[in-house]
Amino acid sequence: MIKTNKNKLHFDKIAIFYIVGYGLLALRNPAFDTRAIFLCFGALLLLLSQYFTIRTFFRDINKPLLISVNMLCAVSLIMLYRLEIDYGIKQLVWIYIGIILMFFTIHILTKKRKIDDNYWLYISAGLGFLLLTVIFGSTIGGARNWIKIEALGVSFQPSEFAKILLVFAIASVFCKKRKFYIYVSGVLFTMISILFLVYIKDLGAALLYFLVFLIVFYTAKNSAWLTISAFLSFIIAAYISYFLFSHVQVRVDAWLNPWSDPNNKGYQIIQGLISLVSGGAFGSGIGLGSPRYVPAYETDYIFTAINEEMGTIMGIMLIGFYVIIVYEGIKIAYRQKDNFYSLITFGVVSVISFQTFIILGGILRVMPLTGITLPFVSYGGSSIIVSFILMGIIQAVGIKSFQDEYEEDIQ
Amino acid sequence: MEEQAYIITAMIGRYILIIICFLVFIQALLEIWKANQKRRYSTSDKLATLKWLRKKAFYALDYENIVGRSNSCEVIVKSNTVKRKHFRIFLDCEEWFLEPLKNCEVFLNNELVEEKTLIYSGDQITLGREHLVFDIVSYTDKPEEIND
Repeated sequence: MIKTNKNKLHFDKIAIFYIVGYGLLALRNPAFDTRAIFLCFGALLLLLSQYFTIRTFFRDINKPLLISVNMLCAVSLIMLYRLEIDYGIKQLVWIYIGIILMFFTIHILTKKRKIDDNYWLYISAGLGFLLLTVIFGSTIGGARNWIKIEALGVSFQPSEFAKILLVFAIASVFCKKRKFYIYVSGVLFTMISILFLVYIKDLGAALLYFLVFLIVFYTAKNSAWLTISAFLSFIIAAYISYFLFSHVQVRVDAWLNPWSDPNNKGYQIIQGLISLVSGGAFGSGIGLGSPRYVPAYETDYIFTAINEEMGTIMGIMLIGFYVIIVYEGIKIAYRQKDNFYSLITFGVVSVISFQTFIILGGILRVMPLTGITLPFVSYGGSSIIVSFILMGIIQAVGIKSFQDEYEEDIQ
Repeated sequence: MEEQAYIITAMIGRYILIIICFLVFIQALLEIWKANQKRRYSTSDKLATLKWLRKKAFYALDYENIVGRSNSCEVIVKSNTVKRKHFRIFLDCEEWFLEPLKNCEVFLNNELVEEKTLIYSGDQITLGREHLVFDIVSYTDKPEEIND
């Protein structure tokens, strides 16, 4: 039997966070900034609409996950409005679209339908997305991973959307006993997409794809030897690519010794490190720092801006919210009895966690910097929408296992 | 607002933002803790117990229990003939099951148990020299529901 859960979403505290943050931003302008107040109402409406949707349709939704996501979005919205007013407004629109798509994903995936045998569909769609980039791609920020649609005035990043298809393809290939050539085609698909991504210089996405493949493969097949040999072959491939591609060399050199070329190659890393520490534990206060010296301060490097103006403690708590997402996601994956859905959840959780790890590791100089967005926080339509769809997949699998347990109880 | 006045407001505001964020973080952790706790409570109005005959001790059982000598077990049987973690006794679809752990000998009504077995009220479980009796007790009065 399932007890009806009380809705404890703690949205009241997040609402106070929005009010305080946008209040400060409104006061920052010598003439009172009324746009910030309008945006504050928009953000509060976002919380209210989520609350009522959950109460009426999705009562079994996982609450800690939703709280963490909303908190990350709140920090992101306030920081982006402070950095550039346009970005703050657009980000709110993207988050609205993302949350609608999240509920839509939950609605589709919780229906009874067999989707675990469509591996050819996932593989071909994923390859199609990546081929589109190679043919029509245009370069923004050093990587040719953008597609511009001139007629609509929109540009989007197909490698973000292909992440979802990658997870679905690998999970559907490895979830059951299949013929050998299907296994091989799954591995080949991953290899070809990684090669595409290296070719268009999107190194962060290439690394992410490989790590996600490794995690899903290991959870599905449970063979340590194959996983270790895959990892070793990756290290050899990375070593060879260091000598083959000049842009890999630049990244590694800038990581090892950024101070050898502080005005050119090491500029972003050095400025990021300075920005990280200049706020101290409690930050300089919103609007009182200078985070805009760092290149890409609104997308990849937004973490340094948050650290500078809201404090290192806030940065540590953001990492804590990501830890909550990963912990709850893995719990949901273990609880789900269907192999395919369990593998999807593992894949999705590893996408979110590795994406966070790759960019934070780059900022903190743990590993070479590769450009990738911080999920739920960075500015960008593709990134926000895909993050919310991934969150919808995790929530849908959680609700599905609730439904299955309920049916077992009835029988 | 004037510049000087704004600086003071922003300095105070940063502490408020950090405190609220911290509160939300703690509340999210509490929600996780509560959700983990919820799985331990039995939904039926019956109480499953294990009785240790030599010591005349009773143990109330959870959804899932490990019986053994170690202090990390749910049911602790301090005896030389019992292993650190000896066997598992758990509820599955309203039925109780017994499963010996690796390299552990368990006798159910004087018969050796080798895999997951269904057990009934009144069954005797033998671990070396120690005897346990499994019993399901119904409440005469329904106990208070645990609201969380």
